[in-house]
Amino acid sequence: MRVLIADDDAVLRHALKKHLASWKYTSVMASDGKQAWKVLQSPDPPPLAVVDWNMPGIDGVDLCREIRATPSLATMYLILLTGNQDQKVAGLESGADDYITKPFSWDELRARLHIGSRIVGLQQTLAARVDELQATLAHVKRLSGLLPICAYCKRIRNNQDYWMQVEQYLAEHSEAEFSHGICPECLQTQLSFDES
Amino acid sequence: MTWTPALLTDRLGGDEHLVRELIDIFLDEYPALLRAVRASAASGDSAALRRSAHALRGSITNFIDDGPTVTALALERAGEDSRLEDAARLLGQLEREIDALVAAMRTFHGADRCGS
Repeated sequence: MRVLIADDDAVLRHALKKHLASWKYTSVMASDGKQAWKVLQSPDPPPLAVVDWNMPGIDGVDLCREIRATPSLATMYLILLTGNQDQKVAGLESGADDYITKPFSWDELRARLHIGSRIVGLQQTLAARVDELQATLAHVKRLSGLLPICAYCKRIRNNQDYWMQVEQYLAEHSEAEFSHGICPECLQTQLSFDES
Repeated sequence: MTWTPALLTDRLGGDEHLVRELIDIFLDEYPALLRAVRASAASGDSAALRRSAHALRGSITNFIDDGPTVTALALERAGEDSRLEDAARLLGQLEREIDALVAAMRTFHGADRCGS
């Protein structure tokens, strides 16, 4: 899974990149908030981000707010990094999903990234199911409402005022298909008619 | 203040190669970070002092929890509280502590690099 790393500290960026690679994540690096925002506006932004609180340009909290205000990034999982314990509530209220104070343990970061990637995975599965359902619904033809039908010949009048055979109408407005046969009563009627 | 490579190697799960890479990056980066702190202290811009001391502290804190990390934090707070009268003293202390840290890093690294 791709992860955006946004931090102005070159040492930490490099350490993060190396650790994330060893945990099978692909890092996309940004050295300030503006660069991070540019990455997020690309057609396929990373679904997970580790964002430093204090950065030049746009800081981590403003970046979280921007992300949460952008519908296309609404499901992004954000981990905020800071050197200050007291900023925890403000960080989470800005839209971050999680919060780590520096210096942090690498095991803790790995565990928190794992939670993030699991949630992103679940959201992606859910989104794929919704897309699948919407695509299916778009193809399902439904018959409903009042149908004008001739009392004698049983033709149905369509929206263009054209009287159609029942099977033709149903074929056009449903998933039903027809195989033609003769019922016993008709068979008897037709047979006696033919014989006479 | 004592910095030992073992401390960082432990933090990085025994990856000595990564320790050397991080030291290389720090030795490249810290002179500019320190220059920014000096410039903001000299200009009396307390907001810039807070920002630049914070950036320097962020870089140092990757290597050590006490010494220059604590002093950089004090400098950052001096900027935050506009106590610029403390800045010169703290900056002098920070420079000495960084010099000691860099010397320890170079001893470990064995690299002949230029400082600030």
